[in-house]
Amino acid sequence: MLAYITKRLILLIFVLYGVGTIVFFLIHMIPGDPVDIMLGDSAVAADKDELRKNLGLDKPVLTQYVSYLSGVVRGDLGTSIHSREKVLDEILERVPASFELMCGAMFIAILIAFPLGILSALKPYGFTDTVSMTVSFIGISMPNFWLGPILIIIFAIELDWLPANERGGFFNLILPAITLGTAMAAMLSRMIRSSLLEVLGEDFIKNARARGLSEKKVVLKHAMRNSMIPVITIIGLQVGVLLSGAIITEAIFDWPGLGSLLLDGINERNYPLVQGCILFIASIYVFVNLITDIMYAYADPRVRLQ
Amino acid sequence: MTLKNVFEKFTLSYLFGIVLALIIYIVDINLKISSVVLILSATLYSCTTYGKFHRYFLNKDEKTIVLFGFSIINLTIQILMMLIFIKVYPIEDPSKVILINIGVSVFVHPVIIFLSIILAEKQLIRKGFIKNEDIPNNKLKKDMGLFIVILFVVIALLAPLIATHDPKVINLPESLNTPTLDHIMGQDQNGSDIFSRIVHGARISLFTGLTVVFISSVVGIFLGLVSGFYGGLIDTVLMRIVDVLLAFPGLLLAIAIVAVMGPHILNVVIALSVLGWVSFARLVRGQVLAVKEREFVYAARTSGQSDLRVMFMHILPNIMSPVIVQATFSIAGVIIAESSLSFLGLGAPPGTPSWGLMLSEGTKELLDAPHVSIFPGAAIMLLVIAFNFIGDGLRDLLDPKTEKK
Amino acid sequence: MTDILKIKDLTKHYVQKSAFFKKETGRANVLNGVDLTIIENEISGLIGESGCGKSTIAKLIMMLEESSSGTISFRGEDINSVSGRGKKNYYKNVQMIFQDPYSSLNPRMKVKNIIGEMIRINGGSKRDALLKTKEMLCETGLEESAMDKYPHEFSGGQRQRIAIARALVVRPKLLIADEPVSALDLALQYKIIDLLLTLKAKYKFSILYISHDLNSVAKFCDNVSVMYLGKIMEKASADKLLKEGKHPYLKALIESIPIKDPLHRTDKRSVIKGEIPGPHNIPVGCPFHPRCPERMAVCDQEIPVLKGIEGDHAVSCHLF
Repeated sequence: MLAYITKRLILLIFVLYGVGTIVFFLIHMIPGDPVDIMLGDSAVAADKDELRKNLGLDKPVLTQYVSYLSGVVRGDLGTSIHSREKVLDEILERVPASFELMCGAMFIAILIAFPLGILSALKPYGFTDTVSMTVSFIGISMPNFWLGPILIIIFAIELDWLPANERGGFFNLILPAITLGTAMAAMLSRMIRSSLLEVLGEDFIKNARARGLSEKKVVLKHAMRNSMIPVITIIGLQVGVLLSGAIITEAIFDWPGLGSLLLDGINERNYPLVQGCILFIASIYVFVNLITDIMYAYADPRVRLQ
Repeated sequence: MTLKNVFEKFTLSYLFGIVLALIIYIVDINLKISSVVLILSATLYSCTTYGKFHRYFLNKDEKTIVLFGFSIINLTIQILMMLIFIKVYPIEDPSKVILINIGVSVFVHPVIIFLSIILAEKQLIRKGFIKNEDIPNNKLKKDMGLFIVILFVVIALLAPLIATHDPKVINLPESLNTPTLDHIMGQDQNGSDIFSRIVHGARISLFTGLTVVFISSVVGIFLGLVSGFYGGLIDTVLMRIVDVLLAFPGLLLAIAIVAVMGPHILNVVIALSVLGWVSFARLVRGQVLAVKEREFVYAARTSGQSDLRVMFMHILPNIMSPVIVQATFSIAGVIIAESSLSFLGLGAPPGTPSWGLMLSEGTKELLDAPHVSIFPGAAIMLLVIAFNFIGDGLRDLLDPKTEKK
Repeated sequence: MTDILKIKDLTKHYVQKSAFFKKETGRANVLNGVDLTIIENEISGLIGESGCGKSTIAKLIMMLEESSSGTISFRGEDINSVSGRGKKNYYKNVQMIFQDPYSSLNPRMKVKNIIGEMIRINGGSKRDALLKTKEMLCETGLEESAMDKYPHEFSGGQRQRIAIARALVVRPKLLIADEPVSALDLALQYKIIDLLLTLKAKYKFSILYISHDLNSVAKFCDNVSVMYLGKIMEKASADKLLKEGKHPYLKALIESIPIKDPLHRTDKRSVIKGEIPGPHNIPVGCPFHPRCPERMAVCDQEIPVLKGIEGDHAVSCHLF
């Protein structure tokens, strides 16, 4: 197990290095002079020179690269262009809102997916199964930038039950969380269903049934535990989908999270901020994946050997 | 169920809706009564259509009892759909009713027909009338998706002919007008015709989807083949690159690339292709590793032909099925991704009739004019569902477990 | 009597390395110094239990893998030194048929392309390929209508015929047959072997026949080598081997052939004790000594060498 974790950590450093490199080179992909684009054509030459100096764009690319990476290692993601604040501070300020939204979405997804998936698997091809699988198929195909507006029309405008903008109390969280969590719920319920069905067909389940255990006990105690391994992985992988889906959801609901910060950065052409946000989100994703993989390896010893 | 059959049924269904609407328009009876008549007749018609579908599977009378129950479910769904449409379009003049009916025919019928077939089949399996294997369910699913996709392709190709108005004409006095006979889906905040914009938007969505998947599958297949076939250093390097690219969740890298390169549809294609090849390469590599050790590959390698020929003539044809399935799902994913980017203002430049962009502009007017965002959203969803259907159907059809039949 | 293929001191080991520091974590010694000679126009048998490395020899001869040390020379030329066009030429002369006829034919190709491809690769025209394919199918006892069918439309025996046709259509001088009949019914086994013998008489080529079935090998091979854990234990002409087998391993193998009449059975049959050790832990000294009934003190010290006894009969055992 320790060897596996070591191996994964070495890989993690490599991947983070790659991510940092890609993010660094983003600013060099800008067609034309990045300084012109960031400050606009009307900017004074002195301002431009100052910015160029601040960003280190007057130095050779290699020097920039090294100083960027060493800055990242020290936790220095650069300075935001207009506000002149530290990028990392701006990001950390937004983290609680994003975290709240993700937890909400995850909670909704699990709340919907587990009952649906288990009920479907108990009576495959039954009525509940058909309905829930059809719903989840639509859920997978429904883009959240359409679901969000529809939820707003129905629950915020027509019925006036729930607030639909800005962050606030518990009720403000409901609509964004549903918007973000639906796709995950759909995916997850399908996964739970198929993985449960697979386990239910195995011999040790037949054995448990033959011993006269109640169906409820067979499913909840024996089958569930064994079918959860792939489900955990999917939950881990879906965090990535949530992270990027959150950008759109935050845009729909004016949610002051990381996604909005990224979009603001893009709209203001505040590239240090954009780089910082992308690096931060990608790193979180990498770490979540690492934890998922380690949990997976812990649950299923076969993985470690690969 | 051949594609031709499905096509016939849908054409009939559409024609029926349009004819019915015209009759009501000509007769001009009391609107409230007419809408009720419309609901009932449409339901009746769809029930008989489903009946035809069902008979295709059954050919025995005693099973129609089961189907009757599903007709009732269909009826409820249909009424609900009609109520939603009536809610969206408060009925003021007869043309609205026509609209409702056309809307129902075009968007709702296929879905309802499909759902009812699935429901009926599942019920029949459970009751033991038919076995699971007897149903060409996946083929139907695939044909259904294929039909919708072909419909959209035709629309995209013939966009200038089908569009009733110039999609870029701005007509501010008529902005946010609700649907009329002239503008069958209403007008957006600039007064442009939504229907025409959707028709032209099909071009953008299909272009992006097909181009990105084409580029990424070609690149991915080649790199995956080489990586899996030779192994060693090439494989290690390639897989590390894949690891790094996969470290960006979902759309993030595409957002980043488009953000620095500027909003343009070609930039979207580039950004999505940069990510797209990764999944193909991984899939192909895994498949190659599995096929590589089979004896026919050994035989090919010892026949004196070049490695490239062994890869493309012997290995590739044997791993194509999962690649095709993946490609289909990828098209759906790319269409959503393009719409998402456009929705965020990073995809198609402002003014372009891209569905995502239309939707994002529509959400600003959500309070006053929900129709502006509903139609493009429905279009995206329908196309995505269609590709997912094809993918789902193909996956089951090409699954080696079911291949034996 | 000229040699067509000569294998000298061939070894092959697989090394397992850790992912990052390339440290050796395991080693499998599959071949430990094999000497083998195949004579022009003869059928050489190679027998051994599964896992003794006989298929690895086939793979090395076919250059599907690289040997760790030792040489394989075809008509006096080391095959490691050929490349490019020479390799193509080598494959024209040396062909192989595989064990599993269900996986040795490309399921997505028609029979005419599977066989015709061999001609096309070697520069034949399309017409030429079609003609020769047709001819070869007839030779192997298949209908001409087989041309346009896919492999899954045939039975196991028919598939093996197609595989033979594919290998022989380029008129190779040496055919490697890796357990070509072990996946088939008994009745079919003899038919396929018959076919091979007929074709050999007609086209004149050598065969390396790899099998685990001592009985069938002895019946139609000219000479046989017995292999155990990556080494040749004994080699001799086929009839001599069955009657005058010297090596304790071979004796045990012969005695383990079931005897039909219970009255002729003796209780003294020495059934080999224990399981064949894996290639990961080859015993020191003679690889067979832990299971050998006639073990001596020297056996776990020194590795015996293959010594000639008389004529072409050679044994690798300290007893002789």
